[in-house]
This record gives sequence, C-alpha cells and structure tokens, in this order.
Amino acid sequence: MIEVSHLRVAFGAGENQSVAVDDVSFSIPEATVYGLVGESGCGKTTILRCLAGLNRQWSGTIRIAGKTVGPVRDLAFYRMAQMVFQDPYGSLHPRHTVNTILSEPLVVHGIAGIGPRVSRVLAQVGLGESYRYRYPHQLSGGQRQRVAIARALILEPRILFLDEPTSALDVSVQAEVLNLLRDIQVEQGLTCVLVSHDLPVVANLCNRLAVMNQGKLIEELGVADLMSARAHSGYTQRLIAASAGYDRTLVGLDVD
Amino acid sequence: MTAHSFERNASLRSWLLVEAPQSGFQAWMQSFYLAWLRLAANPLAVIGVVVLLGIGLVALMAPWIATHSPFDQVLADRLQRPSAAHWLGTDELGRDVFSRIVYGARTTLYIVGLVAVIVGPIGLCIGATAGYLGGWVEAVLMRITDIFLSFPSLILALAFVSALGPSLDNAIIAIALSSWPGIARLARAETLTIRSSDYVDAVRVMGASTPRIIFKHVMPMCLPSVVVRVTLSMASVALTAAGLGFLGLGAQPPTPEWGAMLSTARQYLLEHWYLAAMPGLAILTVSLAFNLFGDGLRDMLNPRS
Repeated sequence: MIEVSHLRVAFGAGENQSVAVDDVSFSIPEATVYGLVGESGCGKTTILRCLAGLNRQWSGTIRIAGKTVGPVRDLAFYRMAQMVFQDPYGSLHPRHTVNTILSEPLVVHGIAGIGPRVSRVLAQVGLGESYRYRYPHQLSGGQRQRVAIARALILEPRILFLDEPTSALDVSVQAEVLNLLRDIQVEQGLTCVLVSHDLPVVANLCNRLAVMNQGKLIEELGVADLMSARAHSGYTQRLIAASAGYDRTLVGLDVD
Repeated sequence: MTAHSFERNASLRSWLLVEAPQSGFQAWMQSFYLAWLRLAANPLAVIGVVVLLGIGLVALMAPWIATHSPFDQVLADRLQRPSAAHWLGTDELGRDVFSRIVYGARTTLYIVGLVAVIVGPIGLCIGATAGYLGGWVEAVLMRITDIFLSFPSLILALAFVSALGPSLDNAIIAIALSSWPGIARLARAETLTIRSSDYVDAVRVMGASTPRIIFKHVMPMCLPSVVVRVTLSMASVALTAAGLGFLGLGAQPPTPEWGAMLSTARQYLLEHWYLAAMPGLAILTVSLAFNLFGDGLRDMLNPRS
C-alpha cells in the first residue's frame, strides 16, 4: 500500500543544513499498522508529514496505492489518506463547532448528505449527537481527540497517518482512544502509519515497526520481536530497556 | 415584571447556557451571550457602549431631537447665550448650536463608520494573505504597507484632500488610506502564529484550497484583534475627521461638523466660550467612548489576558 524508498529530507542549506531523514526505505502492506519509533527529533514525524503531503521538500520515491506521488497532492489523494495529529488541543479550530469541523472535509470534497454523515461518524467514535454543536473548549482532551479521529474518518480513507495520537492525553484516556483506533482499524481494514515514542502503544497497535535514530532507519522488526526484546541493534535494545523504566547503567551506554 | 415574563426570561437564559446546544445557531448565540456577560462585567466598557449607542440614536433621530433646523440663519439672533429657546446658544450666523451638534453626530458617525467598513476588510485581507502565503507575495504586500505606514496620517490626509479638493468623501478616503496599514500589520502578525498551527495543517490535509484556508480558517482567528484595533482607532479617526474639518478640508459649510464648528467658534472664544466648548465636548465624548469600548472589547475577546 505504501512504499518509501531512499527518502531524504534536509532543512536549511549550506553549512547549516541539517538532515532530518537520511535515506530511509520501507514498505507497508495493505491493512497493517506500521510503527515508526524513536526518540524526539529522530525524524519520525517528518517522515509522516512527507507521506501526508504536509512537508513538500523531500527527495526519493513515495508510492501510495500503486501510484508514485509527488510533493503536491490532489483531492483524490486526500480522500484516500487522512491524518490524526498529536495535540487535540491544537488540531481543532477554536472558533468552529464540532459540526463545522466535521462538515468541512465533506464541503471541500463536494460530498452530499453532510448531516447524516456527521451523525454517523460521531456515533462511530463514541460521541453522541449532544456533542455536535459544542466548541472544542467545551470538550475534554479525550473527546477532542475523538473529534479529530472522526474528522479523519469522515472521508472514509484507506490510509490513516497517526502522529502520536495518545501522547497528549491522560493515561486513563489513552487506553480508550487506543481501543477506538484499533477497533476502527480492524473493522475497516485501514492501513495505518503510527508515529510514537511510546513502545507499549506501538506494541498494542502495530503489526510491524521501524526503529529510527538521528534520521536513519536502524532496523525493522515484528511486534513479537519487540515484546520478547529480540532486537538486533544495540540502539533498539537500549530503547526497549529504557521504556521498561529508568536504569542508571543505561546512561553511559547511550553515547555512540 | 410579571411571573410569566420572568419565566420566559429564565428559559431564554437556560437556552443560552445549556451545555449541549441543539443547533449551530444556538451555539452561536451562546458564545455571543457569554461574550456579552464578560463585557457587562466591565463597567467602563458598558459606559462606552451606552454612550456610543446614545450618539447613534441621536444621529438616527436627529430631525426629532433637534429643536431648530441646523441650517436656518437668523442674523438678528446671532451669538446668543444659552437660553430656553436656544439650549446651547446660537453661532455667528444665528444658527442653533444644539441642533448643529445633534446633526453633527451624523457627519461624525458617517465618517467613522465608513472608514471602519473600508479599513477593516482591506487590512484583514492584505495582512492575512501576506502572512499565510509568505515569500514574495508577503514581501510585496508588506513593503506597500510600509510605504503607507511611513506617512504621518494627518499629513497624508491633508495632501490627499488638497490634491482632490476638500469634501467629506475625500476626507473619508484620505483617512482610510492612512489607517489600513496598521490593521494589515496586525493581521499579518496574527496570521504568522496561526499558519503553522495544527488546525491549519488539518485543513491542508483535507485538500482545502488556499483561499478557503485564508478566509474560513485563518481570518476568523485574526478577527477579534482586528475588531479591537479598528474600534480603538475609531477614536483617532474621529479626531482626524474633526481636525480636517477644523482646517476646512473635511465637511464643507453649511454641513454641520464638529471640527468645523470648533474652527469658526475660535474667533469668538473670549466672549462666547461655550460656542467652542460644546463641539469640543462632543468630539471628546465620542473618542473617549470608542476608547473605552475598544478596551472592553479587548478584555472580552482575550479572556486570557
């Protein structure tokens, strides 16, 4: 469904140039969830933004649903691939009601039957009609993220890009949103790319994952390997150990 | 108040405060009501609103409020002191000053209103477009803005009016010309913080067109500060209009205009101080009311500060 080869993203020019993503290749089969894991600033979100068409300065090849896509995408692409952002407090327009937020994609794509479709998607993410005319500031973080997921789902996409969809939420709400995402993914057979630094979240949702560090893809592994800590590279092993809890002996090892 | 109407008020209140609105219209009215409550909590702002509404009402009802025609000259009655017949006395041509001040409210509000209607949308469009698009579009639009900004507003207005001839409409164009750049700068600054936000990225991921993003998603966020800025600048617009009138470059005689009235009254200042004081007081009141209202609006629209 998604094939990326030799993707490279660099910001700035000349001496100040910093390479955010360096020669990354991977491919994701249909209806699977693929995780991109790594510490802050390793380039995982940049890859996601390139895939979603938000970042337009990259080189390499991206093939989505069998077609090579360029930096600028058309409406058909956006109808097929949608994105959920990290911070539900920032990703909903503060002066639009839930109804306006959810209608907007349908208006942009000229899809009829807005009213019933909004009701259906609200029910799908577990929010009732009573939330329809509220403003984002009247909702909790978890409810906002449900609205953001509903907005991504309303175009009935085949691909969902998830940018740390739970990291801004309370622990108790994280599980709810994760379950919702997994149910929807299974039900609709969506292909998902999940960016996260939270290994339990990745283990919960993903089929396969890629570990990244300083813009490079270190290794790919299955979820079973992650669960049993069977990683080949030293970096991945340290990442897994670090997520288990703080350990003083790891501190010195982290310097490569 | 009867029990029935009290009940209806209570249900209107609960309709406005209910947690789950049933329609987009209700949600709108709710946010207006909450904003009004915040404004009402600021006594000075309420004074500003009341004074502005009062002046608006006076302008609207001028033929019924004025005791005389503002144009009728009775040379036998010139320069009379305030009396029962002429509440604020008469000017050098025997015209009733009170009636001229009442009709002058029309002129002032006409100028202020028209300038606001011209300046707000132009500044908002140019600022939001420049801020969102960036690059050479921003460079061109903002340099034009800087050129206009570099002229002192009254001097620019003076030059414009003297080139096109003194008239009320030219004065309005001149004032508008010199007051849109500030609003464009403000809208651009607001847009710069908005354009990189997630909710704008979210509409880009929907495939929305650039004009749609600017008009529907960026501008509503710039609107509060632009409205505040326009309201506050209305005070100086009223002063500039009076200034142009004073110099004889605004409204032309016999149109009643506070600045022009002040200018002619100046010659009789020693014997007839009230002739200058009354239009001056009117100008002061309007610009003070706009300032108070603008301050209140700022507090109302930015609950954080």
